[in-house]
Amino acid sequence: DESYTIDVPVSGKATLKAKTPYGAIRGLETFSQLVSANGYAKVITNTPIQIKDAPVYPHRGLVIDTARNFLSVKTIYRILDSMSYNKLNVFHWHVIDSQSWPIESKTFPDLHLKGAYSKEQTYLYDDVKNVIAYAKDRGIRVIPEIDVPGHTYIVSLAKPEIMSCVNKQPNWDRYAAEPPSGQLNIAKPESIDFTNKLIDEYTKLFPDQVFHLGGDEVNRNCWNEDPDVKAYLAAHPGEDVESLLANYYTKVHDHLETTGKDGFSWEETLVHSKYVPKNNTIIQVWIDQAAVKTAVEKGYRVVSSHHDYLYLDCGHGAWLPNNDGNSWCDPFKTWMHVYNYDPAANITNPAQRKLILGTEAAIWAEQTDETVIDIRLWPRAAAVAETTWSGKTDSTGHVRKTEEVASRLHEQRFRMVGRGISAEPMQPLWCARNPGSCNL
Amino acid sequence: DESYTLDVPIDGKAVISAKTPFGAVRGLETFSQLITSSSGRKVIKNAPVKITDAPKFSHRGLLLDTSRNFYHLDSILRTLDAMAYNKLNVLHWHVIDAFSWPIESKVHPELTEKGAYSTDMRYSYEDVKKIINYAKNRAIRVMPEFNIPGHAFVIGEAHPEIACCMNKQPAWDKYAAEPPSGQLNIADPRAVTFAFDILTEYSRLFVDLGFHLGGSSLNTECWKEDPTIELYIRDHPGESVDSLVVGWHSQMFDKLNELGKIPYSWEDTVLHYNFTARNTTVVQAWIGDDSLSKVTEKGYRAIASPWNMYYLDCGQGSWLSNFEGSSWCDPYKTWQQIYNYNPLANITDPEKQRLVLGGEVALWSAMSDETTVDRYLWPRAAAFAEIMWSGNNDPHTNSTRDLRKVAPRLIEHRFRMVARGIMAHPVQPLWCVRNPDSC
Repeated sequence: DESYTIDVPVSGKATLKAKTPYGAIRGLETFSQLVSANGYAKVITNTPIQIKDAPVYPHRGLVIDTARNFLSVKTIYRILDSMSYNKLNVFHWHVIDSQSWPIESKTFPDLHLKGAYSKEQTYLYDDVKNVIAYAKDRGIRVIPEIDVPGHTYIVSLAKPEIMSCVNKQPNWDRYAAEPPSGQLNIAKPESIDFTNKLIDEYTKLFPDQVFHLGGDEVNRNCWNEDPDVKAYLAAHPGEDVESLLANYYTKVHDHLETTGKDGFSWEETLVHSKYVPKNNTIIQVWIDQAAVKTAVEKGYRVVSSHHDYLYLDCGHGAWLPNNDGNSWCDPFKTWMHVYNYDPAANITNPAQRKLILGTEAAIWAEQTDETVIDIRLWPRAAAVAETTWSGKTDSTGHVRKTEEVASRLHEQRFRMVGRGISAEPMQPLWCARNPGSCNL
Repeated sequence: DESYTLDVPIDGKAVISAKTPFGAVRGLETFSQLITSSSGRKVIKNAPVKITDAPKFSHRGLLLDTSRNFYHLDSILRTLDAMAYNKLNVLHWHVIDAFSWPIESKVHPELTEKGAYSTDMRYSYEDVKKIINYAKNRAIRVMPEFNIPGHAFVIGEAHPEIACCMNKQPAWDKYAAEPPSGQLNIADPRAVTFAFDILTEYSRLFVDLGFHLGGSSLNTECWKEDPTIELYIRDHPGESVDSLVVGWHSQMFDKLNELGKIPYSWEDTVLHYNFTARNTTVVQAWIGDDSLSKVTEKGYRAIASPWNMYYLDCGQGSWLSNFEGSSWCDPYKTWQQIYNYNPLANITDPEKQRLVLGGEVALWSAMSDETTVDRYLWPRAAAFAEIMWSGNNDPHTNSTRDLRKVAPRLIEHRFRMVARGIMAHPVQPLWCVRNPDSC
């Protein structure tokens, strides 16, 4: 419960009331935004003010990728600060991927000893605990993602024996969505055992009720052409790669269940595999808005990260050197486009709408690191934050138009710059000062 | 002359020889890049090294717009440093535009009073001299641009008597390429006097031989609908808005020549109007694939800055608040596109090719300021810089260099710039950097 009320009388003390500390944190952020400068004094204008506030969606997050390129703990702290300025409350930590394994593993130390970019570019247990504590102080949950069984080339540096299609060159694109290729060998029980041990380890390290097991972009060629998989299937007629994959998901999600956590996985586990996710698994949609409808119709809770609105890294062209074209998800998503997104579009049944927990804007790090993370996230993530905290509809039923929102977003952008976040500018300063003069 | 030779023997002293101090500055930059670290020590590998180097183009520039959004002195100086790391040698300072007038004027102080975004967001004479000097020490020219008679809203705020179609709303797009609309009244002799004041004042402050007069995106409707211009045209049969524009340009270019400067202007002045400038004029081509060849056909020296390759601000979508679509110049220009582009591609005549002095990448600042400047410029402008200095032709294969071989060098340079305090954006996952040929 993040609701709160604020009472600012004309003079005297302001009062903040909330049912939980999280509500109080949200209220404090609002209060800080009421304060403006007047000459050299700080004032709150337009008193008395009474605010009664609560979020429309309970899950308002960011997916932060620290595997393609590393982000220091200091940078993560700054991201968490900037999230709190916008009342975002979920830090979905996409901590490992094919390119690196920066997080310490006490079960399989070779993963980070061989898989991190360097000793300095590692998150030790203490670092992780510090991040979780820093987030908690800001009312932000940390949901870890161990993305399996695809996106796991990096595991081959520690345990090559449980891998398939490791770093196929030059035609990696036959075996993976991006280089280097490599997936867990789902014909080997050792892969399941490996995954389960990681689940054991990281469900203890991360206290959140939800644990993300990935499941996106698994490549069938990778397994169809793997000799072990072929041998297994030859010896087990009636099974195929799909049944092996479904079996893998079943085993690891069953194991996750024994830890008492809820699963969280990408839409492919629901719509692109034979596996049927457990009822309490949260489905994260990124490809197709229709998957939101499919998921809620089947009774699943959903978080949307629709790539066409919420993938904030897009718009910088392809990152493969010999490709001078666009990236798959170009163009750049402007703040107006982001603001106009409605995760519950076309879903009218109220019970189903309630299953939509919220959204997560994502910043995939193929072309992002500490030098650019602030400008890529902000102020566009603030646009998502408003639509998920306040929705897009006023109390009068009017759906906000972006030209009505611009002034406030400008103000928030300058506020964030003032607080040390390099949010990028939306318009020439003249336009910020002359609202309504820079519309089409 | 920026040529130099660099001789690094196996041990002893390295030697840089150059005909001018500018060549020496370039040589020093190369020398700094030969140094790598090896177990904590600094070494130069593969000695002996002998380099003989000279640039392909003499004008290798970067346009910075400080009017749409302001850049404090430190970010401009840092940009000059970054340019030096890439042997770029012209800062084309697009100092004023419709949105703000940040530069001090001693002749018309009201321009800065009314036109600067704030007292803190100004360039004093001292600031300008600092910038010019800092640039000079890095062998970089600072060429100012005062883009008149279009883009003049902010001038109209101080001098409404010489401005037309000021801030027409909501239909600004009938009168201008961007809001707010406003152009100088080219039929009013007071506008000419005012413009002469500006050219004179800033020709003195900026020591460079080149002075850019702008002249882009002039809107005919703006003048057609102005009552004083309607009157003028009625009283002067045979004249039109176009002839007024030609008349304006004649006066401005003559004035600049009188002031001892070489006029630079956008292609619009000579390609969209029946205006002929002296052949010492340098024309900046920005619009079409054929613009550069059209400019050189007319015998002018030219600079290539085609928007579809070199406008580094593009790709962020439109900045108009009620429009969620693309900007006119989207998409984002990738380093790969910039590297593969040969500005001379459409010019076959070697005489005409010789007229192309070089090129410029541009950072228009509608959606850029100090928070973003490093990231939007670098390392893409480094890819451009290599094309301008070395070209993209591999002499061994006589074809364009393979981008897969260029990438590691660009990435190395990106990390070099980051280490030197420039927030150049990352090009790829670090894994790909360490495993070249695998991505």
